[in-house]
Amino acid sequence: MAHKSIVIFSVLAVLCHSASVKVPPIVDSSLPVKFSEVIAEPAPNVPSNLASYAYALDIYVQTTLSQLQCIKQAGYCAVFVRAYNPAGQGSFDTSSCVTIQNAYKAGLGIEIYMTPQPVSNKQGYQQLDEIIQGLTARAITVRAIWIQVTSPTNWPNNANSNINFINSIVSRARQSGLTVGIYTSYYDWNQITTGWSNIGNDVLLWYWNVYSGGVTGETPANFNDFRKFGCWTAPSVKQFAQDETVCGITVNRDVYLAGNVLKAVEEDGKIYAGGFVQGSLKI
Amino acid sequence: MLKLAFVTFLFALASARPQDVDSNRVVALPQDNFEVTDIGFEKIKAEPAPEVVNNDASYAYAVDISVPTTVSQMNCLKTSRYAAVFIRGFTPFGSGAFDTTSVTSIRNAYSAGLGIEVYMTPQPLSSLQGYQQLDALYNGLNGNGITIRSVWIQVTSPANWQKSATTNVNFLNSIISRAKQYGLTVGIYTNQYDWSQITGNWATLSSDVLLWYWHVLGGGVTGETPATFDDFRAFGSFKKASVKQFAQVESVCSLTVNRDVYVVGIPAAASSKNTDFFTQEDISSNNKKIVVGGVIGV
Repeated sequence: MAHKSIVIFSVLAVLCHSASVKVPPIVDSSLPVKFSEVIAEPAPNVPSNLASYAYALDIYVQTTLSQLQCIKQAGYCAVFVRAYNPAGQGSFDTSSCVTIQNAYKAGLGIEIYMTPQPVSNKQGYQQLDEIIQGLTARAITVRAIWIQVTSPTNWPNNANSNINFINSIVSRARQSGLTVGIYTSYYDWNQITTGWSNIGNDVLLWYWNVYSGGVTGETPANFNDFRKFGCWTAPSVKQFAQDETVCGITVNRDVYLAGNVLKAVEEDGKIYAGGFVQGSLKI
Repeated sequence: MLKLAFVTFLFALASARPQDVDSNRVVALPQDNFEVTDIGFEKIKAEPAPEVVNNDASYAYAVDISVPTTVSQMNCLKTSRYAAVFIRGFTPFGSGAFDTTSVTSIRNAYSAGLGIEVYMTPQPLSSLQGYQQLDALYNGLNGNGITIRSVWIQVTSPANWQKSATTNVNFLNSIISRAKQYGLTVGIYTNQYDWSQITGNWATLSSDVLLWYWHVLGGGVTGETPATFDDFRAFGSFKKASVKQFAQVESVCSLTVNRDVYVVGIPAAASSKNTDFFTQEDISSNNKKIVVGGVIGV
């Protein structure tokens, strides 16, 4: 009996890609205001002798099978795929289905994250419902969801309202039997929720810390810079690099504790999204 | 020897601290009707900061404060090997106003022989324009016999700013232009993430504007980063930094402060063009004017 190694990747939080998530400012053409852009450079290679951390990427663009095979070859164990697009009122990201199917074929672990739209007409739980319905319709079984809580400028200046919004998603996830995690940083959490500290200790954490975008802005690929905040005393995943290219696509890079690494491909032939990060699979 | 080391770095500490009373953030009030019951919020209690042990002659330490202080606290800071203090001269409370407590703090810092810089935490949601807020600071200090040579503008805490980057840029431009009209050196207290969130990574600020950046892993002693500039990366229009805030919400001399380092350079440029130096005559005649700012990063 083959040892099932399920790589649990929580597609946590959409990386704090403030440049990519934020709606571009409307610039008055009469102003000589210029904004600098980060150009993605090739990422360093994944080390070959990892002790306890496994590498992952998070992506929000549709990705081909050959790109994902390349990613697997390059030493990444999982991908976090964005399943919700915040543009407008927010919507299920249909391109995620293709990426997930390709990742499955490439033998990568798969987690999904959502970049919610906190100023939408749709409540938090409705946005999560869209994801679950959208993926289930394509025969993808959702086991976990990661909620992006970054980029304060995209959130209302009302902590209570933000907390209720996030809680709506978290509660719905629990009702649906999903593991739920938050992608954020201590600063984002402070800004957006004023340090909300009792979201529930079943909620996992994916945190980020970079000095800047790009290769020169990476922090070490470990959890040494984690400090407790909110209700979290330990993280599950860390995003340590932003805006780099791997196998021709622009990604952010992550590490998580390898721990019980299970094979990404379930033997039952079903595609699962989520439920791979340590402690997140509800047995 | 004139006290040239009036280094006043205003570290507008990230108003991300939940207990920052000056923040105009919305916080949960008991009477608010919210569905989530028993919302808990973290509270960071300021713990004593590690002692300053400075083996590197090129770095000096400072603290930034926004609370009232006493002479003995300032003397204590000096004894604790801090070379300078950054004092908040403008509060964002309400529509934003000159921070009157800064006058006493500046006088106390002066008498303790500390370098002094002034920072402002502007109020971007105010009906007062940027330049009007700068005026309030400038006039408030001058009216109290304090000559200001440089000012640091806090650009942190995206939640406290407008959603439009262009609006924020215009607001900042208004402050900066006014400050330059007064002949002040201008610095910005921010970091890459704040700058990106608030100004959309504005890259055409003039290169004479200095940078004071911050980076902590969290509040308190456990959240400190090294007291060096090793983690600095160029962003926006900033190619180098003059000051770094590496610790937040710690207790020094019974004050809740944030802690900073700056590179000690040759403090020549600012002083050579300044004629408001204290002379012995000034001091003895009790006709002195306190001069703040103008040394860092030149």
